[in-house]
Parts: sequence; C-alpha cells; structure tokens
Amino acid sequence: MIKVENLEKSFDNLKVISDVSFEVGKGEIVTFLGPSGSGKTSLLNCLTGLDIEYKGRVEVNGVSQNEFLKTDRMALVTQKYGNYPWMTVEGNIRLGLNVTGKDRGLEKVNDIIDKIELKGFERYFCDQLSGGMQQRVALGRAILQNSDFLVMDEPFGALDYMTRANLQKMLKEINNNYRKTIVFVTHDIEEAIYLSDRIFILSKIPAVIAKEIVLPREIREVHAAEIKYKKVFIKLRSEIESVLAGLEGLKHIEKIFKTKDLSGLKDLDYCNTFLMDECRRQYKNLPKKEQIEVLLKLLRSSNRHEVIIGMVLHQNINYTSSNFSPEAVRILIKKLQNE
Amino acid sequence: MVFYDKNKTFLLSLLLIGLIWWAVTDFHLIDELFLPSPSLFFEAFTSLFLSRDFGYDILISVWRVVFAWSLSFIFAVPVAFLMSNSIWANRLLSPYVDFLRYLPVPVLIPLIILFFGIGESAKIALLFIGTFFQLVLLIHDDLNDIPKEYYNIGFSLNFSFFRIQLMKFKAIAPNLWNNCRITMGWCWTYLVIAELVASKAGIGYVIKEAQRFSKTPEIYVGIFIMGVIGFFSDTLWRFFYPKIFRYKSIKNL
Repeated sequence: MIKVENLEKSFDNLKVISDVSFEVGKGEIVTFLGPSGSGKTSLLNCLTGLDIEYKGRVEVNGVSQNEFLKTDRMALVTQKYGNYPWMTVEGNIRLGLNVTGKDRGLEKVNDIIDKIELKGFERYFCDQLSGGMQQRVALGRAILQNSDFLVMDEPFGALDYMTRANLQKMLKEINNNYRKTIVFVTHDIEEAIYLSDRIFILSKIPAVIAKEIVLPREIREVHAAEIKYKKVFIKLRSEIESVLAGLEGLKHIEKIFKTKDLSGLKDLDYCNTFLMDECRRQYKNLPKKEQIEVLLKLLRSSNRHEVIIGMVLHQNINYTSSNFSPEAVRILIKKLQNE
Repeated sequence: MVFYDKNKTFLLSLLLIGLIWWAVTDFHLIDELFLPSPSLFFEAFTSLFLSRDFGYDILISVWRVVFAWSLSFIFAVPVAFLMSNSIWANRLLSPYVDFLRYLPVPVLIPLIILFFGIGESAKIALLFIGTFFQLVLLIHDDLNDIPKEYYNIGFSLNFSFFRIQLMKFKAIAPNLWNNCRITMGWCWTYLVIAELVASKAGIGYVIKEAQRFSKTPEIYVGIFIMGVIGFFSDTLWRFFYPKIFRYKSIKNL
C-alpha cells in the first residue's frame, strides 16, 4: 500500500508538483496520465525514493518511506536504457533475484523467461533484441525482484502498436498472477483506460491531480483490441479528453466533449463529427493558414492525431462540407505526414 | 579486384612505397644524406642490432612506456572514480587536473630533472605526468556520461556501494579500453622527448646519437622501429576489443 500526503516538489525556483495526495491499495493498477512535462516522472522519482528532496509525506506498507528504503525497494521499469547491455538476457533477469553464484535461482529465472516468452534468447545480449523484447527483459527482472510494487515510467512509449498491446496484456496477467501493486505513468489515454483500476489526471506544472477516474469493472475484462469499440470506453475517453482539453485552455472543446453524447458513434465517425462541428462553428472566417494551425492544435489536444493521419491518408475524410479548401487540405496532409 | 582484400591492398601499397623509395634514391633524385637507399637502410638496420645491441634499446623503451602507462592507469582509475563519486573531490581536484592537462610536457623537463635527476625515474615521471591527467579526465568524462537509468536500476535493485562502482566500471569499460589505446599512443610521443634528454639507452637515444654523427640511415631505422611498435601495440588493443566486449561487436537480430 502506498499513501502520499501533500507531496510538493520544486527544482530551484520551478515548482513541478504542488500538493498531490493519493492512496494506492494492494494489487491495484493506478495510472498517472498527463501531458508531457507535467511532472509525472518527478512524481515517480519521489514515490520510489530516487528523489528524496521533496516536501510532504510518502508512506509505504504502513511505514515511512525512509524506513521502507532501509530494507526494500520498488521494482522499476523505464522507457529506455532499462537493462545493462553488457549482460545477457538471463543475466539481466537474474539481477532481480539479487543472489550471486551461477546456478542459484536458475529455476525461477527460467520460469520467468518462459512467462515473458523469451525462451531461446537467454544467451543473447540485450542490444541484440528488439525494443519490445528489451522491455520484456526489464519486466522479467522487475517481476523476479521480490517487491510488492512495480513502478513503470512510460514503459511502452517507444513501441509499435501490436507489441504494445501484447505487453499490456502481459502486464495485466502479471498483476493477476503476482498481485503486485502497479503504478504506471503514460500519456496515452487508451493505454490508461485499458490497464488501470484508477486513473489520476495530472495538470500542467505545478502538477495537481485534476481528476480521479475510477474505471468500471466491465472494462477491465475487455481485450485490448476490442476495447476501442465499446461504448463505455468511448464515454470514458471523452471524459478524459474533456479534462485534458480543459487543462490546455481549450474551453470550447471541453464543452463539446461534455455536452455531446458521442458514445453511440464508431471511432472514425466520432472524429469526423467532432472535427466538422468544430470547423463549421469556429473557423469560418479565419485565413487559410491559420485554419490549419488551429486544426493541428485541435488534433493534438484531442489526442486523435494518429487516427486523423490514418483517415486523411486513406481519404476517409470528406472535408468538402467544412470550410477547408482543397488547397488547405493538401497542406494539412503534407504537414501531418511530416510529423 | 585486389582492393577488396585488406591484406592484399596493404601488401600492394608496401610494394609501391618500396618501389618509389628505391627509384628516387637509385636515380639520385634525393641526396643520400636526406634519404638513404634501401640497401643503406638495411645495412644500418643489421649493424645497429649486431654492433650496438639495438634490441636492448627497444626493450628499454617498451618497458618505459608500459611501466609508466600502467602506473598512470592504476592511479587514474581510482582518482576518476573518486571525482565521480564525491562532488567535493571533484571540485577539489578538477581545477588542478585541467591546469596540468594543458601544460605541454616538455616544459616540465627542467623541473623533472631537478626533482628526479637524469635516471630512469625522471623518464617514468615525465611519461606519467603526460598520461595520468589525460586519463583522469577521459575516464571522468565517461563516468559522467553513464545514463542515469543505469543508476536507477541499481537503486531499484538495492545495489551496495561496491556493486554500483562495479556497474560503473562495466558501463565505461569499452570506452576505457579505447582511451587506454589512445593514451598509450601519446605515451610513445612523450617517450621520444624523454629519451632525447639526458639518456643512455632507448630508441630515442639511438636516434639522437645518429643525428649527432649524421648517420641518417640509423635515424630512419629508429623511426621505422617506433612506427612498427606503435602499429603492433595498436593492433593488439584493437584485436582484443571485440573479444572482451562481445556485446559491442555482436550483430543485431
């Protein structure tokens, strides 16, 4: 169990976290969601004890963090450089056991290697593996480590869609099998909804918890590939997007998300409607160039960026009904492709 | 084509240089005082080994470099680790390291002779000063470049102080190996300077003596031997790199 009270963190004069309090129960998966630079990593550092120069109180398993760190540590998985490149896959995973001697704990290591599906790669060096495999090695080490807690800082951020989905599934299984308390940080809304029991949305710095969302039980049973098409998912996403847009200062978008019932729409339609609505209402009178800037800003803030690129590339989107000229659309496509 | 084979290309270039050498000296394009002919060169080569015991000079030069370099390595590693572990040690030592690093070694010769006399210790001291401060700086820089994630892993696994140091050493080891290779090369440069001043043996001494008596072929032999030793020591360093740091050379999947 983790209990954080009135956490406050500053670097020199820059306050990055201001008054954050929360609790994480045993076996829970909790996600911190927020834009880049919202102090997510700083928060994790305070939580794990990597950074102890903060104000406030962190309690782990009922004792103060200081006391906890004397004997124990939280397992950690980061986005990159998560393994030692001079060690083999097996060596890196074995680190979690914290024992020396060649044959000790071999059974446990092999068991984990089986679970993370890296059989046959034991003797490989980590740099030889793909990004997804490397993250699995880090995950394996973290599971083997005899800690109740698993702290993950955007661990799947650099991976492709399918690898990511597989690892997310694996993480859920780990949570079920080992009953580890998992604190997860991401900026990906779908990932947060798929994985978590609860989501904390952080504001921009100085970060506070802008909203806490408790996910309904039904969504936790859904498969990652299926989840996008569930009504409850779309509703949750709108809710989160509304909060994020509000934090970005885009009041009108916040309002759309709040007032319109988008849950009946399929994914692409949902985007389309949202875009058309916005374009028609807001940007009729702007010059072309500014229209594009505004649209790009909208896309980014709504986190539908990738989907829009896909739609535009497959010409699924019909801009003619909006106020964008074909010329403007061409520039937009070019810009999106470049990003 | 012959150029696809590394060794064949090398042999071809050797042959070409030999041919040019033979041609310019045989046709007297260059005076023999400046560039001896191949036959004069080989004559000087054999006579140096037979009459002067040149092998001893080579050995003593190699010994000076290896000994002085090893000494500076043995001291530089702990000093660099100390500077990376303690911010106070770093603040205390780094100004001096930076100051001494920029001094050209030859300007220290008068002082070194004053302190160590003209014996073997003076030469070792000169080589030591020439490499120690450079090595400290290079190792310290590498230590600073270790990704902070490596420390984070160590922290989350509750590593002891000693294990963290071991991790740091392993993290910088490939760069350290290369830095050793490079600083040993510098050591050879300083050796010549050391042996030109008040010396009774060594390759540099042989070159200096040859210069005194205008024995140009012997100068060339000395230079040639130095080049060959440098070449072989460099090859040795490079040969073992992929053997020791297998993870650096293995191909990706």
